[in-house]
Amino acid sequence: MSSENGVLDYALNMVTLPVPVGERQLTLNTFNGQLPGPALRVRPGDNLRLLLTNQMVPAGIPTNNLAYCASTPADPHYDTRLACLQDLWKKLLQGKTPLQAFVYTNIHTHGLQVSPNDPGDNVFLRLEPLAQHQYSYNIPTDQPAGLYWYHPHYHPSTAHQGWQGLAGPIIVEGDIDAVPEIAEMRERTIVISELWIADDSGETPYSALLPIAGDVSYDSMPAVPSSMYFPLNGQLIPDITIQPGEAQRWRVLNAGPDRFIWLHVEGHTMEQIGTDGTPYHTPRSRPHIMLAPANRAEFIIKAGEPGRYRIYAEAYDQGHPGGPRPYLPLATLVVRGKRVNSRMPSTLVEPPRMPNLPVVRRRTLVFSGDITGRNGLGMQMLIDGKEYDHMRIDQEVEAGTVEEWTMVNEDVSQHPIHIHTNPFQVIDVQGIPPGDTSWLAEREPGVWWDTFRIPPRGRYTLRTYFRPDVTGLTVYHCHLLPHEDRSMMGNLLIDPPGAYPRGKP
Amino acid sequence: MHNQGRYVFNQQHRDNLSWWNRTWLPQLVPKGALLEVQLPSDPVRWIPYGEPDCQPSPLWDVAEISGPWYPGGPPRHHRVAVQLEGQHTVPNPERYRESANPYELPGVYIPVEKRVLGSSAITIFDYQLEPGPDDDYSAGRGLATICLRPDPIPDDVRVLGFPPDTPPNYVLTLVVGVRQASLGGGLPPTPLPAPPEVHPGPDVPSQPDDPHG
Repeated sequence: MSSENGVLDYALNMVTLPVPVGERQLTLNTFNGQLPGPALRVRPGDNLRLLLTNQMVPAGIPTNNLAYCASTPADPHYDTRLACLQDLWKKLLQGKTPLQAFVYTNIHTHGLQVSPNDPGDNVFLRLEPLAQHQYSYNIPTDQPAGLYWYHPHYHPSTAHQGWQGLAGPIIVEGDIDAVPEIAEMRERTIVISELWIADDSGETPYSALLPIAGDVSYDSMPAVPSSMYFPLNGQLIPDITIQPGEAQRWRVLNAGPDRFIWLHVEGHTMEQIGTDGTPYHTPRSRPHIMLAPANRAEFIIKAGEPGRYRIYAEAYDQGHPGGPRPYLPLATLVVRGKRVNSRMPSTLVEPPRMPNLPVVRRRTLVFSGDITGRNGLGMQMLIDGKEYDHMRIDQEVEAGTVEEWTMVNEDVSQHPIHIHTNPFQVIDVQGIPPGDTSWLAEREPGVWWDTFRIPPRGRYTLRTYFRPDVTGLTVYHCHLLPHEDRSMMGNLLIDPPGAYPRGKP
Repeated sequence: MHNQGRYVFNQQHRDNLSWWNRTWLPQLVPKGALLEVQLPSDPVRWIPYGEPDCQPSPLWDVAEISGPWYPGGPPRHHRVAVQLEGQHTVPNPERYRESANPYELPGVYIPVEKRVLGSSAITIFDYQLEPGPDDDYSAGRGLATICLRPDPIPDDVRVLGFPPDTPPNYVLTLVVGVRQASLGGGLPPTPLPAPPEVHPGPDVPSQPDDPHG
């Protein structure tokens, strides 16, 4: 879908449908019946209008998930069942039962530097079943040209909807597309999904998440045997064809809620031309690229000799129980056909510059987690020791200013932190584990990110510019979506220039 | 990737849930199910034990009152035998380190150096429920219990992933023979195939190129 005359007006229906993946038929929530959702193409200065309709139904609910009200209390003086019913009634009124929360939704345009206020990128919106919402995003004229994406962002159901592959690419076309060598190339947009599916029902379990050891990262309460699938554009281990000597431009998105994708292409290097939507000045050779959840990488791959080459995620320890996540085959690069010799660009475009302004404020944010369950069912993920409160302003900033934030990780799990609306540069990283060779772009100054992982028990300092034309209330959070849902999120209030501090939206 | 059809339980699935008034959730599994129990296991090791000490937690009302499986048949809380098939340990350095704890100390942030260090390993126990004879419908159905005790009993049970005032034993009561079903929203159920195996050297049939390419 491409914009015409400066407008892309499109309808997205979130609908529950049978979806074939490999040899199985799954029942998933989808955008317009597609896995992933349709690709949207716009240009800087365009108006993107999305009419979102929620047609999801609750699928995947284990029947005994609702039956705990029948359990017998050990304490005869306390009627557990009455307390359960009272709790259920209270949550029902608040719309917080799993039955309700997992089918409420909204949409976030990840990486677009657009207003967080209605009808823009308002992640506080609650779209109930059968409801519609008309979004309208005015994409700024200086939005870097690259890969962005959309996905549901209703707290606390982002992971449940993410496990079903609810995500789609947004491609902002612009200056880098006019680089002659790049303009000649075939282009592929690749969305890597991470589907968590119960083996018996073919649905995403509809329950609390418990991190476990083993190939499947999470379990549910109650437990169900389950599988994880990592399709590329909805296909398991597809062939991707290329001619010998041909250079193709790939835009790759890790849309998974949890798995770090340490991307390798056997026998090939990748010439990276952009990160998280922002292009580089010159291509940078990478033997491998790490994509934490939500990260995007745009690169050129030039095929070598004819043959079949593995495209895979190398095993990586992201801090999950039981050690490294296992090796993961993703696709096969098939080099065949007539030999060509595609030109490679030596210079790309001028990337955005950090304004030469003084740093007006410095902040430190502390991220911590507890996955034992000793504090209640599931995980507990905190920022500055606090659970997320949608009514609280956690950080207040002034548009038009530069700030430095130091992100401290007290957890052994790496946390990829995403700040909505404004990208940032990382000026210092501490605590990269010895021998962890996955940190390449992360060590380079000047790269713009919208999601950056904190090393285990490490820290980094970012510098960001709150653009003066975008104000309002938005969020920052861990993009391991189960962590976001379990409170590793904070509210960010961006005041208009000269109006700091206001204390409320 | 899949968990080999096993029902995986960890310390959070135990009976005696402090956050639910020390009751337990009905964990439903089919007869003959494969089970896996993962527990933090350093500085302790877990020792399985059986009857007579290992007993189901006080019965779930519905199982208790719903009578036999069929007229004249055995009660639903008939005991089902569990067979331990093996165990192994995987490293887990510091992953169970306790974090800030607003439930025990509301509003108080616990500095990282003052937290419980937790376990640096996970022990995984593989069990199978004994299904009984094929021609006996009621065989292998009822209540099954898995029990493990730590050795030595730690000073602070939080290293086991348990709340501070919890007994250290791990007891898991299962309702066997009642397969979990999905409400499914009225959609047709999907069949139950084995999940596809993922091989390091992919040799699957060619797929069409990606739709966006």
